[in-house]
Amino acid sequence: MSYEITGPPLVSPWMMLSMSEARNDVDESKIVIPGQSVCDAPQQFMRGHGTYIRDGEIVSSLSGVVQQLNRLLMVKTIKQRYAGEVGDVVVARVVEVQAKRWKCDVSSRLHANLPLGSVLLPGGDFRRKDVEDEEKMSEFLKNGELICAEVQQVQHDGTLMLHTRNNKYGKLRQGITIKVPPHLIKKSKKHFHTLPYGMAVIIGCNGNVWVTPSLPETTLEEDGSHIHEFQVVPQDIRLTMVRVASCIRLLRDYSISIFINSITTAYEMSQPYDIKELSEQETSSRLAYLIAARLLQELQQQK
Amino acid sequence: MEINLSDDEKLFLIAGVEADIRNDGRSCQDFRTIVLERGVLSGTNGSCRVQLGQTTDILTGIKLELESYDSATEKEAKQPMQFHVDFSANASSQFAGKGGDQYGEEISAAFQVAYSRSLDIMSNLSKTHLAEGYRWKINVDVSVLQWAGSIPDAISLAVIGALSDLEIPEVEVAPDDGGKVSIVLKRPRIGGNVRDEEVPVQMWRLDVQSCPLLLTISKIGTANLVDCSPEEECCIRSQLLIGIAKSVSTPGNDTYQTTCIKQLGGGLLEMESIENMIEMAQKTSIGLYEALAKRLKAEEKRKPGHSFLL
Repeated sequence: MSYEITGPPLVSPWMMLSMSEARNDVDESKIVIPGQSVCDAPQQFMRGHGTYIRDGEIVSSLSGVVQQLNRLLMVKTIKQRYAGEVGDVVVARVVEVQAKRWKCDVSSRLHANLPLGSVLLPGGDFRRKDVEDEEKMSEFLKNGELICAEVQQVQHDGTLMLHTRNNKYGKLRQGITIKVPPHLIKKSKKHFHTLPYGMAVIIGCNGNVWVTPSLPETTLEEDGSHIHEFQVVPQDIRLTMVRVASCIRLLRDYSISIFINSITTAYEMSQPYDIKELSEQETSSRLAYLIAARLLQELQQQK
Repeated sequence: MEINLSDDEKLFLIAGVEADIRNDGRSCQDFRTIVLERGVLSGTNGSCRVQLGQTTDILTGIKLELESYDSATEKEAKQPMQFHVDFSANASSQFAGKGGDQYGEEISAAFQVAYSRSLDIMSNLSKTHLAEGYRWKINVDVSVLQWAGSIPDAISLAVIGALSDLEIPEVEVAPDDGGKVSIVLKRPRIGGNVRDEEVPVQMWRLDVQSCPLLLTISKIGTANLVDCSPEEECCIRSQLLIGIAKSVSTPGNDTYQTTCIKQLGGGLLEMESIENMIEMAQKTSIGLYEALAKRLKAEEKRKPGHSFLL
């Protein structure tokens, strides 16, 4: 039993960020807000995404960082909804079963499509999908179920087309989802990780992090149907899962980028604390500061 | 409600709750961290803001009103507090339009019931009755700014916080013509060159140490738990809203009485589990009362004006 009533925090996460040294190497002149001039010699540059011309001057229409490609100037936003790129691993939730496709929520501007043709169905990889399969669609994936998929195509209006045509993709079973802002996810070659603590994480590029006892493996039964038995997760594995989930929430709250290294660092450094202490102001801000310092140090050593 | 989980996620959560490990590392009896600050709204007579686990956010303001009533028709003294709960559409899209109205009415009715005997429970509340036919009416307005589960618990803390912040002016009642009375604000006499209107009015505060707390106790699987997160609220079988009031008869020998029980949502409960849930609410309220008293004492030293709105 614990009941703690405190006052408003003295140190906000943003103050933490400015205190840490991570911001030191950022060129402040490259950060712009809407309406701010992007360069001082507009004649020599062309305007790109996120900019417009006002009185012969190139002005930003977004808040973000100025990027230059030869003579092209563009502004890239830091915080935005998930945009999606081909090849991204996403963790999505089915919101609607339609004719020949599932609509999935990927916390993007539009719902993503998962066509019936791009999923792995029982009975062979390249079987044609017929009317019977269409009738049984809601048996494969129901509303509210979580899937892990890859972005196959980005359509011109920004709709994502997903596919799960690989054994490592597909329906996700037991576990914890943590929503984080998509800009905190660091892209890497691998987004599926089995951690040495007896559990696994899937870091979806769309900002959904999935903490699970084991990675999904679509093992098909002899008669071709998906049979899955509910197994209770053992207590020790559950505890490590909950701890990893709390660590990811801590990284999110203090705007530390999320990738395998930061998760394991946070996990190792959180060991002296109880899991529920990780969400308390005092412990979390101190721990976040130490984690950020450690990660920064590692980054500098790599250079 | 707004969040939907797949069956397997729910099963995982329920099995976890039954093993006393919740998805955020708490045990079943644990509350998320509560942030309470008082005196946040300058336009009110008393105000308080409560945050639960950095997400659920409640703002409460109290306005006083001098009310006249017909003493001939009203034989028994009525409880002076009126509750109104409003759900902001910003809290969650489910409250947009008229979405939150019904839920708001349900909660304010529950508060009305829980506080119905507050004249007997709270030691100096009867002081709001000024004279025959006149009394202070205490309008408690609650606004839910952010929704992330266990709203009634957070509201009850915010209401107690605001009541403890409430300053009620002292008045002098003098008999007037025709059996009526005239009510004048009481100002201490300072003398000298100071005009009467410039002297601040004397104020008094309510004694809140026995204000009823309202707690939601939810049944998930076979376990009872307090302070549910939105994910946990999707898995609830049935939920009870229990009002507990502390009665301070002799110091160190507090007794706790149940002032209201109300079922929220659907589901069926056995008599035995209701008793267990009430027992749990009482246990929780002991710890919560203690933490609240500690926090309110710490708040007294704070200077007013450090509002979160600034």
